[in-house]
Amino acid sequence: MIPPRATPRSKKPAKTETPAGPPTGFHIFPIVAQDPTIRDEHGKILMTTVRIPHALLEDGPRSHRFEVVDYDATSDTLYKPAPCAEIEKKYGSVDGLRDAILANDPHAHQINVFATASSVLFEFERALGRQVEWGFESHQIRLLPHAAEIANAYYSRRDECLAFGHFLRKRVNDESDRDRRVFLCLSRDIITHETTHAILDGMRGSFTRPSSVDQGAFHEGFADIVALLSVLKSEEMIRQSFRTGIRATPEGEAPTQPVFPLDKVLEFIEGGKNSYLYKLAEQLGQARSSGSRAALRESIALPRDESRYRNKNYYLPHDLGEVLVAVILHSFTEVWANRIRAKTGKAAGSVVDRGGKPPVLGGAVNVDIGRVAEEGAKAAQHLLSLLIRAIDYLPPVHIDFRDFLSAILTADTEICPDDSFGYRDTILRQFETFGIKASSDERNHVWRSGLVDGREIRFRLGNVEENRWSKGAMFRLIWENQYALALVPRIYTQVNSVRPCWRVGPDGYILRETVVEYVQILKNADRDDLQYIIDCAAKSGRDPERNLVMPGNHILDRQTVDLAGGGTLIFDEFGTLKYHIHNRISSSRQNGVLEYLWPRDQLGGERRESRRALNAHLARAGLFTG
Amino acid sequence: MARRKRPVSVSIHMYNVGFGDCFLLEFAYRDAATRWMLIDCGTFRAPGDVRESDHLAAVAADVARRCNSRLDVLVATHRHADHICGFKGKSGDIFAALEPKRVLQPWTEEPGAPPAGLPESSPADSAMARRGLATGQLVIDAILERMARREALPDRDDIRPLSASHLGDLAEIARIASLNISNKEAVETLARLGLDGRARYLKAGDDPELNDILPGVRIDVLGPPDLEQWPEIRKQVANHEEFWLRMADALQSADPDLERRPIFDEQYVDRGRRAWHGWIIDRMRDADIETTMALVTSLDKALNNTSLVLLVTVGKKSFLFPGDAQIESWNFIRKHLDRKRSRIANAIRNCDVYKVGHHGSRNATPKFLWKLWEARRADGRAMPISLLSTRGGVHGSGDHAVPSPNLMGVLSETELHSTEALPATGVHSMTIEIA
Repeated sequence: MIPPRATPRSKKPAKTETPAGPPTGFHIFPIVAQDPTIRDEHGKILMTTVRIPHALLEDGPRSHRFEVVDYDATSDTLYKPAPCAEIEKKYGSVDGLRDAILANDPHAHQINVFATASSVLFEFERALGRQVEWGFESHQIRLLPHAAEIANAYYSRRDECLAFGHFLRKRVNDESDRDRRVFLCLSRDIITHETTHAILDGMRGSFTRPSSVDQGAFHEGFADIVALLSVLKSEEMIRQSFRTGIRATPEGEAPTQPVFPLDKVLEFIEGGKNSYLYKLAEQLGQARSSGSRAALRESIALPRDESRYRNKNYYLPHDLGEVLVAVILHSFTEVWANRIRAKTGKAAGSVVDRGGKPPVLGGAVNVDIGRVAEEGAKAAQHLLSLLIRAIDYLPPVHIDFRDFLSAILTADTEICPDDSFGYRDTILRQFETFGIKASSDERNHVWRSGLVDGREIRFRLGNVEENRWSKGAMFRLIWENQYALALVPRIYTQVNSVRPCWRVGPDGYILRETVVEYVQILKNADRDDLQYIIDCAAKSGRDPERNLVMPGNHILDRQTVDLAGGGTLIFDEFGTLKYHIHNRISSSRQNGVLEYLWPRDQLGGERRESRRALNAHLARAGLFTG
Repeated sequence: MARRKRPVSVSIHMYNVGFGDCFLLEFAYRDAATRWMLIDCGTFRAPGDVRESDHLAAVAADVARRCNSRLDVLVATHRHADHICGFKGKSGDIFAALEPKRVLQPWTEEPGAPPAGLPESSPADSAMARRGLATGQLVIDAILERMARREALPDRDDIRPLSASHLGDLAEIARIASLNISNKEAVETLARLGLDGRARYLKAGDDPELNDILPGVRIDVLGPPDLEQWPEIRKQVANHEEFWLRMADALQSADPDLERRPIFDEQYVDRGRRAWHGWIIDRMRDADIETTMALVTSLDKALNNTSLVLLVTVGKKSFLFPGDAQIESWNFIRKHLDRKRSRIANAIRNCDVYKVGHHGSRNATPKFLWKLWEARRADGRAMPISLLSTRGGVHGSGDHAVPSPNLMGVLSETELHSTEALPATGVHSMTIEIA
């Protein structure tokens, strides 16, 4: 039905031949739209398609970024890779893939997990305007669609893989084992969630360090957000939910035309317990036996107040992450409704001004559900790109939700100075509803541009071109400017990454930037070491109330602590510093982190780093573990 | 009147049971009467080379001799073998014959329907937590069975056999798992002893109703909390149950045949040894074993947190018996300390004897507790006497060894009595006079 374009090897599977013709365009892959329990109006598995940039594909499938290895540790079995020659012919269409899934063909699973994960990576690379690296040395991450018989999926940096389990759900009637088996590699939200963990780890490796509850919560919340927005930006899913959601007309009959009254549509999008997100949550909730995550259901039910964020230290990172998800979901429905109002207002020409409130329309206006879905998909897509870009504007370590808000506002101001649908206002307001204020108190809460006190970055010897890619060159620049950047001298300093980007905004506007992350690390620090840092901070003469103070005896008795701080430098295309976004090793935030880690026995740093993500997921399921 | 009824001394007899707990408390009254309370009897590894069941039978006989075949209160802090396996077999028969007047267990052990006395809204949650734990036990059972099956399988040609380190890890899992499940008989004995209204299944704040049985002795139940008392954990418990149920479904439905079959048709199975996948296959086996280990240990930990935490007060003396409570349970207890003028906070602060939690593991003696006691030194008062029942080299290694080297360093600053310093059949007895 939708053949992948430009797959030069597809007709010649012989392994040694070079592809014929230049590789261009995109592959279009069918995938499962949510998971196999979500059906369309004919009772068939709801499918959608994704587009990924052209890559030379090999059996597996394998590309230069992903490698499917179908090994199952529980039965100790290796399954054959999907043959390249059949990827297009047999599985290349929505019907083909669906039939293969129904026929219990593991190759269909391999292709589904490959295409879904590839599309998530493409989403990030498109938003960021550059290639994203993994959080480990290898260029390819392994995908294990049937890693073991377990109700769990995880990313592991150590194993350089994304692993998906399979399990049998509770028997209903006389189902056969085959019908009962749930494959997590067919759940789009789960694949997206785990792939996001992997990508985020590649972008900001320090986010897995022991820190405040916010940082762990951010990893989880962000992965859930990407997973949810990926579903919401699929028009098929929106149309499907509308069908089941507001289908019934007042007369109790299904409408023959896909057209609904505007007020009803808006109510459905923005309203209470019967609204779109609740319906979707219900729908996904029924799929819970398919292993789907409860992120949506839990988040929309959160009360819109400040209590959870205010008492954040009582929550596990997973549970605090739901606050972030809730903020974004409410932002999404608000901008979606705004978009529909704006579009229908223009079309009908009957906007009624209500003195600053969003315009409403007089009379009964009908809207086409296809357009509504389209606007929803656009809103989700725009939000997703905006949130992904914000990662680049986060400090490299010890972040909190307030930093994320300032990062969002800055990133979007940079690429989209004109905010016609009010995304930034909406997001700011929704964050504040949950008690999260922006970190930056500059104008519009964007990060402060340049350096404080009018100081400037100088480089006498460097060359601008080299500063765009070389960690060594960048370290020289940081070394020469350590006082201007207010680093603590003599503390171990390292440039983690230097990343040039070419970002394209919604209007086609191109923004060229270089993003640099550096960290300062001090391990096994005792009282004297901390005093040294405190003295250095005092000498620099800045924000005394934001400087580290000596922690209490309970923290420093009989133990040392690990400290980490750092900054993100954003340079423009001429090599001029635009932003220095930092959480210094000498900042008062360190005190908060130490107080949080102390009762949790994590002051010693990363002794047990292995498979942290795996164990975090298991911990979520386990009583009391943390 | 009340003064006359109060014990004049409390003696604590700590039995050397190796890696386990067995404490006999003797309350002596002015009229030469004595009352007896036993807290736990179990071991995971007996001292010396004796068989566990023989050793515990000898301990039970000694308890019977001391208390003149009449036990007043029996406490089983939680259902781990190293605390209750003495209540089965020969030793179990001896204890049963002592006919304790009161049997105290945590609320999670109450058989059948939700316990009376809980607020209306909580039975569902509490029952859920209980079911979650019970299902967890089934899962552990199934894991053990599955591992036995794996061992019975012959090596295959097409895939590398498990490495020695993997086999070692599997043996460790079996060890921990057996600690968790080999106690069915003991659990049943305890339930039987508690029949006819003798049992009290307790949550934090409950009254164990011992005024007549142990006059002049006040026993405060500090833990475990139930879900009403600690709403922060409620949701985790819900997830917990769902998780275990799902695991149980999956495991119980596993193929009953010895061979573990592929889940897809034979035509899809790759029977060739693929050298280029060697690394990731090894890692995935690792992860599989680690996951099983995580399941087993998380259940293990959950059970520790169901421990009864008892604060025994007689006159101005107080004794703290926290079972194996872990840091999460302590964090709940800590809330008492935030309250000013709390009687319980005072008793904890001025505690005279501390039974070291969980055989001296690193997570069971919270730092805040220690800070509190260290502060006493500033006023020239001594730290509490510590009683440690443990056996080194049984559990964990390095930082995670039990007893923990760090904690031992700290404990050495107090008057410490450890079963490790006792002969294999030894009992450490100490008497505290009540002013």
